[in-house]
Amino acid sequence: MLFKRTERFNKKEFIGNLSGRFRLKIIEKREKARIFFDTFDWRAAQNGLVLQLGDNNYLSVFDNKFNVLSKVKINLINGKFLAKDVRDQSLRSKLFSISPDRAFYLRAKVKSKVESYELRDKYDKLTGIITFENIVFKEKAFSEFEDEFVVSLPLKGYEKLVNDEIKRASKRELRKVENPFIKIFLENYALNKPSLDLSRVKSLDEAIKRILSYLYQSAGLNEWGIKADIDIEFLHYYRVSIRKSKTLLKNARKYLDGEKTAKLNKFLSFAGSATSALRDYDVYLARENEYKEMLPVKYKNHIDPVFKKIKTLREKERKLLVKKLSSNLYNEIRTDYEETISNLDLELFDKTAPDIEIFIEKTLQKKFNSIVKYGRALNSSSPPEAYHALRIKYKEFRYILELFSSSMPAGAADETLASLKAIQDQLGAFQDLSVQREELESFLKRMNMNTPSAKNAILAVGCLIGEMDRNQRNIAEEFLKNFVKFMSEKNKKRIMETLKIR
Amino acid sequence: MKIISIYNVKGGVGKTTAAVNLSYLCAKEGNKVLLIDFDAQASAGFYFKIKPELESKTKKILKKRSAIIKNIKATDYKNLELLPADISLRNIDIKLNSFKTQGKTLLNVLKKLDEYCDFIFIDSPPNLGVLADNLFTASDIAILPVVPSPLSINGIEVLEKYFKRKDIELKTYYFFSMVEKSKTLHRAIISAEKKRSGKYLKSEIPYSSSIEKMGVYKAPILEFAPKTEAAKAYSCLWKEIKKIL
Repeated sequence: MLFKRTERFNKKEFIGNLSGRFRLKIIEKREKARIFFDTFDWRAAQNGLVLQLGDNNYLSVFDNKFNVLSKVKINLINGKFLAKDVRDQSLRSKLFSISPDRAFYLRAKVKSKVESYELRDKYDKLTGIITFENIVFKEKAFSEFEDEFVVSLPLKGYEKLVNDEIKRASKRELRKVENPFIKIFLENYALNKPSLDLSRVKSLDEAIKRILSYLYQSAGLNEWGIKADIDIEFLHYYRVSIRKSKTLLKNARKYLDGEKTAKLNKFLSFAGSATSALRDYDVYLARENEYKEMLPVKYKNHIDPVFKKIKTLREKERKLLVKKLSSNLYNEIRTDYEETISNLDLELFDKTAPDIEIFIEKTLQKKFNSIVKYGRALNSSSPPEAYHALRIKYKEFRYILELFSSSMPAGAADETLASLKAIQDQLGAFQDLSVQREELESFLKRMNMNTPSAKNAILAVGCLIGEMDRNQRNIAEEFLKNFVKFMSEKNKKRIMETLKIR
Repeated sequence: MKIISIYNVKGGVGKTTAAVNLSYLCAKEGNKVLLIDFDAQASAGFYFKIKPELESKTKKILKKRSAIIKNIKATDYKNLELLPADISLRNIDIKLNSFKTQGKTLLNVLKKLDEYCDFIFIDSPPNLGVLADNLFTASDIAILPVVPSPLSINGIEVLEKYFKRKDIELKTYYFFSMVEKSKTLHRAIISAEKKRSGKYLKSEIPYSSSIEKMGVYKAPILEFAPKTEAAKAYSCLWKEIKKIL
């Protein structure tokens, strides 16, 4: 059981009070590191599990009440493991049901000062262990955290005795809490994103500087994961940071110094183009099972050579990207970018730059109008490019909304984003099918056609493309229906009111 | 889950020390072990510093899985838990008689612990009544400590006749306990008995002051005197039992 101390809690007095009922024997007093493993998106923690890596690669699995569920040796490859690689059958199936594909790796390292005591009754029987733990989380780019907790681990059959005595000895100055460590990480440090708070920022130039620094930090936090090839989400988050930076620069360009903007764009363009091919491969491979599901049973295995080829190409591309990210050229333009952001000052901006509220409102209005314009022009025979153009407009709208959400009234951005979710998903699915269909054809062209497996693969891809066409048509029809609803006067008015768009 | 009863119709033959040390050895191998103390003297609990329950809980325990789980207490050793004895065990035969399930009452409740633990060791009292009948039905195997003395051997013969008369098919194994090899009588009885019955295990637990010291240290012998002959003998005995299982 975990307790958080109130301000009036007195440790010395507490130990003294406990000594009246138990014989306390110190069993541990040391500083140690707590190393928490989880997936990129903290799936274990979200399912109530805490994975802690100890000495000699022993992984302890706790529930939220700090009960040990398993302790097994883990074979780490490049600092990560997959659920399927866990030897212990029961833990393997537990982790597999939580994350069949995402790797588990170091998600947080916490410095911890631990002081543990045995609680023995008058018969010298061990009834439980009480631990005082001071934890410090200090990592570049994240805000520092420090707190002290009390952990009681009564032995079976002694829960009531130990917990009652703790309550009595603490004079009710200890409050029960769920696992505090993971909660903190889930709330503040999840998804490799540092926090961005613009609520107190009054000027546009300050907001832009902060956002660009924040996005640069976000990209940097994901770079190591791309190089280590731990999870494809590192690359995705890196690219999202780059795209958001580009969108911001594009929409604020008239207030920015052209020369400096060009310097910033040089890095962003390099980072964007260097990573795009690998991201495409990642998306195909992530959908391997989905594609196979689309195929009739007899063709399911025929598509394997195509994916084998994609895997080879992906590995080649990954090595190339690692080279690029480690190159002198990349380091130079990145340093240049970092310096340009840190040296951003008022001189960069046109003196006529608007207030932050006006900028947000005008930009969102412009983007929203574009969505309406591009959306209305669509019909069932529109080419995929027209859908893609609308998607770009939508993304720009969403990025601006997300980046400035902390400057807006609480909940305003979230509500609008939620109302656009269905449209976003449909446009995403439509675009993915377009690109993937084209790319599948090009993969086939790159394969050696003289083998029987290639002939079978052509049949399977042909079948898949037919299925993709059908899906795309269905998505387009659904999208158009949804867009009509979205454009209803009532909905438009609601969004505009929420965002104060006039 | 395997249920192992440490049983003998005769008292003072080393049932409790065997139950404590064997369950400890089993838990040390990583198995989740529950030791049930069915002896109203509560000696198993004494060796683990667990005081006996004052409240009478036997009837509840014989009825509900949740009552067993609620009353289990952890020992100071990993994976080893104890269901302590209480004073109402004196009348366990009467309580068992009150159930319609008769000889299967214990089996019915213990099989509900299948997911809770890997092994159940039962430290049984010297009894040849309803509790014994229940133990014979519920157990996968019964291990009987036998002191190489005429009275103890007589007890074994009584039991064998009882099994035959009642058609009990439980796997039973004996081992000699409190053996003093310096005594001619002990040597003669061991030799004769091992010839008479194939149920005797090879391991023999010597008469040892270390075993008596278990009551002083309140711990299994392997915790405080692991290098003694007696400790080694229990380890060998456990190895033999594992092979049978």
